[in-house]
Order: sequence, then C-alpha cells, then structure tokens
Amino acid sequence: MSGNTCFILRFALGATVLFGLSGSVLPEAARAQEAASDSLRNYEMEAVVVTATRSPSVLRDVPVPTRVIPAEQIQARAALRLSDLLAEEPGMVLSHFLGTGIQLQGLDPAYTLILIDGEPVIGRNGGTLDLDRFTITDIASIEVVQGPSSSLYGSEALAGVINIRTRQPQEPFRALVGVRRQTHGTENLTASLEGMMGRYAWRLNADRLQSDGYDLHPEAPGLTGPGYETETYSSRFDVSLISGLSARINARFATEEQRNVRGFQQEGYAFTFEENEQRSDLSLSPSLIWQAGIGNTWTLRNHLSDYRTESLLSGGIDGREPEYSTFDQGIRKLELQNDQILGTWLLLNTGAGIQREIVEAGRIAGVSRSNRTSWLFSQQQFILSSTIDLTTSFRIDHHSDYGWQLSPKAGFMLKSRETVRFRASVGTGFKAPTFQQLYMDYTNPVAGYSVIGSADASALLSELESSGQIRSVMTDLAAFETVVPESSVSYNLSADTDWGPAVHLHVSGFRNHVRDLIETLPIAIKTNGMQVFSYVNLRRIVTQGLNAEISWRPSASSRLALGYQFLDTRDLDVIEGIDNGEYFGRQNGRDFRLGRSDYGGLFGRSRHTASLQFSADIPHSSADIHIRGALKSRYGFGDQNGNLILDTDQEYVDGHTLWNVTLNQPLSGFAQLQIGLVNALDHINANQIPSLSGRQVFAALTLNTR
Amino acid sequence: MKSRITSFSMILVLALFVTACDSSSSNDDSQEVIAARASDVPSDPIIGIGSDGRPVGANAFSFFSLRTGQIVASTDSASTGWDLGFKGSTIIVNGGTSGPGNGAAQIVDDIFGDVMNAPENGWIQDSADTYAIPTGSGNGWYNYNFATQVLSPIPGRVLLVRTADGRYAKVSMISYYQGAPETPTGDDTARFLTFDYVFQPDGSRKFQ
Repeated sequence: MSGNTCFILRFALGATVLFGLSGSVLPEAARAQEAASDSLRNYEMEAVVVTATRSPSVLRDVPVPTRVIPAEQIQARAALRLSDLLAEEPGMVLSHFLGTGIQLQGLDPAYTLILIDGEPVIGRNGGTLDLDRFTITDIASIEVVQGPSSSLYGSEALAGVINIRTRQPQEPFRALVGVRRQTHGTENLTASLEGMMGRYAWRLNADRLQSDGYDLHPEAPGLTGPGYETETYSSRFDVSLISGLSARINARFATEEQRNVRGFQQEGYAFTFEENEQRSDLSLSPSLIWQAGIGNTWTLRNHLSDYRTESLLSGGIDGREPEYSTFDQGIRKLELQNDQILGTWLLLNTGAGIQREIVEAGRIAGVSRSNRTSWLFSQQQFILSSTIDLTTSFRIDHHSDYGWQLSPKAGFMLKSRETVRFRASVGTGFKAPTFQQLYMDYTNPVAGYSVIGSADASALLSELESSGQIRSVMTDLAAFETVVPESSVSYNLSADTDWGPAVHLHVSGFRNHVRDLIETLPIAIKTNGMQVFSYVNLRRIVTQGLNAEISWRPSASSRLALGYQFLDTRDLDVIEGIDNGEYFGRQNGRDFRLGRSDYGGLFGRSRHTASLQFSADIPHSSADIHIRGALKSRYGFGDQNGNLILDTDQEYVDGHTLWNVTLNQPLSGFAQLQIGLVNALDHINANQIPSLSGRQVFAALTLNTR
Repeated sequence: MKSRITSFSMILVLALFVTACDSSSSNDDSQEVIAARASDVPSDPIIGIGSDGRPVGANAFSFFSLRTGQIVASTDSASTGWDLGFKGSTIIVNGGTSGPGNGAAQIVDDIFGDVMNAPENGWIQDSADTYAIPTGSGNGWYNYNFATQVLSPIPGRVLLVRTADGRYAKVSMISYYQGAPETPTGDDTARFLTFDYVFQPDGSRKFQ
C-alpha cells in the first residue's frame, strides 16, 4: 500500500497549496444551484454543447448529429474508465488493438479525434488512443459528434469527434473522496476538491487505479491482461480578470506503469519476455476569453502537451541484451478564435492557429524530428428562416511535410414545430500521416527487415544502396512521393423528434468514402534476403450504415434507451479484385473464385450492434438500478486462408452481448454506496477477445460534502 | 498419354525424415501424367535456438524430384536429379543460380484444376537478385499473418514449374505445417510442406 500512501500524500500536498492560494472558504456563499426541473420539454435536448460548432449551442439545434453523455449518467453508471462508459453508447463499438479505442461509423479508432476541453489528446499507438488511460472522475459530460469535422478541427476528425468536458467548479466548496474495490485486485481511489471565491474558481482532482491483471491462459507464461498502476491528477483554475476578460488554466498529469511476462510461439518454439512499460502524459492549457461586446467573443488558447513511453524488454534467450526503447511526443499549439453574431441571421466562427509537433524516438530517422501545421477555419451559421438553418464551414491546413489540405463541409437543418429536426450534411475529413509513416527508420535486429518512413524513403534507400545493402529495388524510386493525408467524403442524414416530454426518437444514416489509406508495402529487397518496407497511399474503403435510437423517460429517475446500428463496410479494391476474378477461396482442398457475396467486408466490424440502457428507482427504497447491455453480431477476426480478406466462417469472432449492472444506494446525505457487476453474464472468449476478462464485481463508496 | 491419373486418392503420410511423399506409384519410365500430393516434406525443420534467440534449422535445402516424388539426397544437390528445393518458406528451382539444370518457374493466379497448359513464355530462373518464386509475404506462394504468426498458402496461386530436365509441372501449395492442419495456429510445427502437383513427363506443355 506504499503506492496509496504516496498518492494520498501528493494529493494532500496539492490541496494544501491550493487552499493557501485561495484563502479560506466561506460556507455561507450562495449556492449556484439550478433546480433541475422536469419541464414539459425533453430537457436532455436542452443541454448546451460546444463541440459540434466549436461554440456554445443548444443540443436540439446543433447542425450535426451529436450525442451527450451527461454527468448524472456518468456518475450513476459507475464506469471505471472512459472506454467502459463509451462502450455502452449506441453506435460506439469498442475495438482492441494496441489499446482500447472506439470505432465510430465503422471507421477505426485512428479516425476519431479525441479532445479534452477542446484540446487534442496525443499519444496514439498504432492509431489507437487508449481510452483506458482516462479516468472519469473529473468529467462533467462527454460530447460525441458523428461524421467528419475536419472543417473545424483538422486532422483525425474523419469519423467524428469525442470531446471530454471536465467539470467546471460551480460550488463554493465541494470535497469528494471515493474508494472502490473490484475483482482482479482492482482498486480505485479518487479525491476531488473544488471551490469558488469571488473572482476565482478552482478544482483539483486526483485518481489512482491499480489492478493485478487477469489470466485467461493459466498454462501460458504471463498474464493475459497485465496488472497496472495509474495515477491521474487534473486541475482547473478560472479567474475573471476585468470586466469581460477571463482566464482559465487546465492542467493534467497522468502516469501508468505496466509489467508483464509475455510468452509467444514461433514456429512451434515458445519464448518468454519480461516487459515493463511506463507511460506519462502531461498537458497544460491556458486560455484567455474576452467578451468584446454582445455576441462578440475572442478566445486565445495555448496548449502544451507531452506524451512519453519507456519500455524495457528483456529475456527471450540467456545473455541477450535487454531492449530499451523510448517514445516522446510533444505538441505546442496556439490558436485564436472569434465568435460573432451578426444581426439576427448569421453566426460567424473564425479561427487561426499554429502547431509544432516534436517526436523523439530511437526508431525515428535522425532520432528527433518536428513538423509544423498552421491553419485557418471559418464557419457560417445562417438562420435562413424560422425553419431552415444552413451551416457552411471550411478549414485550410498547411503542413511542413505534405503541404496543403482543404476541408469543406456544408449542412442544413429543417425545423418543423418545436421538436422535429431533419439534418443533412456533406463534409470532408482527413487524417495526417503519423510520425512513423513519415520518419520511421527501423531495422529489426533479429529478423533483419527494415521499415522506412515515406518522407525520407528515397534518401534512406539510396543510402542503403550505396552501402551495398540493397539487392534489388521493387518500386520506381523517382515516382515515390511522400504520403498524403488519408481523406474522406461523407454524407450524413438524420431525423429527430420528441413524442411529448418523455420520448425522443432519432434515426440517421451515414456513408463515408475514405481514400488514400496508408499501407506498408515492400519497396526493396536487401542483400540479406529481407525486405525494406515503406508507406504508400493505397486503398479505398466505404463504410455506411443506419442508426435508430429511442429513449423514454417515464419518470424523472427512470429511463429506457434502445439503440441499433446496421453497418456495411468494404474495401473497394477488394471488390474490384473480386469482380476481376483475382480472389480465391479454398474449401476441402479445392480452390474456387470468390464472388461478392463471399466477401465479409472489413475486419473487426459487426454488421449489427445494439445497446440497451435502463435505469429505475427501486420501489420502497432509496436505491436505483442501472442496467446496460451492448450487443455485437459476429465480426471478422483475421485472415485464415491466405487470401487476406474476410470470407470464411472460421475468420469470424462469434457475436455476443455484454451486460453491466450498477446499484446505487445513498447511505445518508453525503455518502453513497455503489455495487455492481461488469460483464455480468461472464462472457469469455480467451483466444479471440483476450481484452475481455470474466465477470467482475465491484463496490464503491463515495463521500461528498454536499 | 493414354491414361490419366487425376485423383489425389493415393495420399500417404509417411514417417518423417524417412521419405516425405507419396507417389502415384507410376514407374519412372512411363509417360503418364503424375498427379499426386506430397505430404510433410521437411523444409529445413527447426533443430534448435540460434544465437539471436530465434528458432533455426540446419540452414539446408531439401531437394525434391517431381518425377519420382522423392526427396533427393543433398549430396546430389549439384545434379539435375531434383526439381524443387525447400528451405523454410523459400522454394528454389534447379536452374539459374540455384542449380545446374534447366529449371524455371512462374506464378499464375487461377484454379489449379483449370490450368491446362504450361505457357511458352514468362519462365524465370533463380538469379542473384530474386528467386523465380519470390520470397516474402504476398510475393510468392504464401501470406504471413503477423498477428497470428501463421503462414498460409494463397488460394488460387499456382506455381508453374519447368523441371531440371525441361519437363513441365504445376504445383499448388497446401500447408506449411506438419500434418497439414485445416486451421493452423502458431503452436503447430512449421516447415513441413504439403503440396499437390501434376507432372507431365512426356515433355509436352499439357497437364492432362
């Protein structure tokens, strides 16, 4: 428990410092508490959101499909990490590849931008930003914008944007501590303090999570899910300086340590390695907001962020040198935005920014590299009539390696009565090449193959050639160019309506065409017989689907929400190949040409997904219960028969449903007990879904000054 | 070419290392087309762990005669008694830089049974730059899945072979693993090749 002691000490130290800064807290200060009235209107739709238009607007009237997970849902469901929470939402499918990510609109996690309070989060591994990294204790709400938003946010916002909004200090004084225990030796401690004093408002959060991990393959060395230890500290400080001018500083620091023994088989031989990985993550975002006049706001935002991993790999064979590697990524961002209301018919949002990205890693050519992006965006929200809104936006990015990128988008909304909304939009998205894709310079010391980034491919290859390491070149080097961003054109249609104050209906459809997907391809053969790989823009894919959701609130504290998504995905080059008779299958030792109907689309996509969320008060008690289910139909796991595409039954993972249950029991005015089950029906698929441990039981106690 | 042996019914799996094929028991002097499956042909099987921690074989090719369906002793590697050599996932032909014969190969994508003739052109011999049957995932006869660490033959990929003595054959690779499991895993013993082949001994390009 020495880790816990250390954690508590750190938190106490931070708390003392902040108290010293803000002076004593006046308990009689007025409570800025709004009575959450259950009015005649569906109040979920009245939430103010900021992500869809990069400016505050009412959820009901945003021009693009947006989902909000409000604070009370987040609190009541008692999810442990952000990934657990998002997985329960309709149309959001967890995927596990080098971390836990969210698949939105059938696109990989790499294509969804993740923001905290509007600022990008870095530290993706193989495209996935591991959502297990984020605690939910400091989150006020989560906004999910579906469809491309590169016209406002630039790179990565192809499938959508997930914006985590942290809690704004809103009480004169509030202190909260929580402790939670869960199966697998999982233990979570949280503490939070906030206060308001005159012109100042502040919040400090600390969270510590540790777990012993779990083992689905006791016969194999190491654990299936390794144990870990993470700490997260976050703070927010708001001050109004002079009339109309206010400042804010958000800071976040997180560390994670993970140890495991890994064993793997290669050609029938077993190896074990010891693995030790440390990650740390630091960001600081100061901003200035100036209310220049009525309907005229200027915001200057600065964002500094660093992400670092260190890993040590030892073992394998006696006497072998341990492999130590580090990866260090940083961004420095400055952005100015102006929001203006012009007359009664136009809202104008304009911004410009510049960002420098730096990476330092052993596998990067020159060890340290940096690049620069600058951009300009503009959004026009036209209120054409009482029933029609038109929103247009565009963004121009310039990147020091791949040049210019233009991202336009247009959408319109038809309002009928108070509560009926039709939305249609056409937009573009893009995803910039990663550092690896641009600057990688790596030769596997064991196997001898090399991977080189596309920005340096020609130079690095000639270098290898002149030192006599190249046997033959497979590509025309003159034609080899730096990869360009992957880009998409997308169409979104949706309709929303309320049936009285209690029922909300949503249906939507989407279609994404993504082209220039970046792939690795062998470009040369070395004299040792191994290949040199680099990155090229190759494939084109389509994802399309339909969503339907209904939510019903029969009373203030009960809610039933059902969601369904139909998803269809395909690689257009595979379709072309099938039509040309280039793809074959093999059954009972006989080959046959595949037809379109044999093709199952992209790997890792369930054709049908559904979700259920149910909450209710338990009669004759003060307790309430929350049940959530997430269904996935079968999805492609990996190629088994050598043709690289999804086509036979044994290439699928069976469909399944995961259920989570939480029971909340207030103990007194200031204490609450939560108990629950994660994966209540104990679904396990040890070989194909190692990320899924069996049923877990938890109990959590929260003490709150309120 | 009076009778045809077109079935793979005479498949035998013989003891490892002793011999690694079955044959259609056709005698060598007949001019009948041979259609057979060679099972578990050792392809430089793993014998230990190398200094780099990876499994290694003896780094020696196994030599195979399509005419006899037998493994040829490595002491005869400089002869024209073999047609294909196997080491791990690498396949060589008896020609060019690999052997003294007239061997060559080319790859077509088609259904094995539908390939009726060996083409006149397009034959490639092994050279210092590349083998007639290229190595590497996706280039030659297999795809390697990094996630599952399984090597799978590419369905529909037919290896056309010109033998050391200028005869023609077609080969369809079936498995890289001992016993040719239907769905191999990383646990299976690798470097034992199973393949179907049709060998035309009469010198013509016809496979029937």
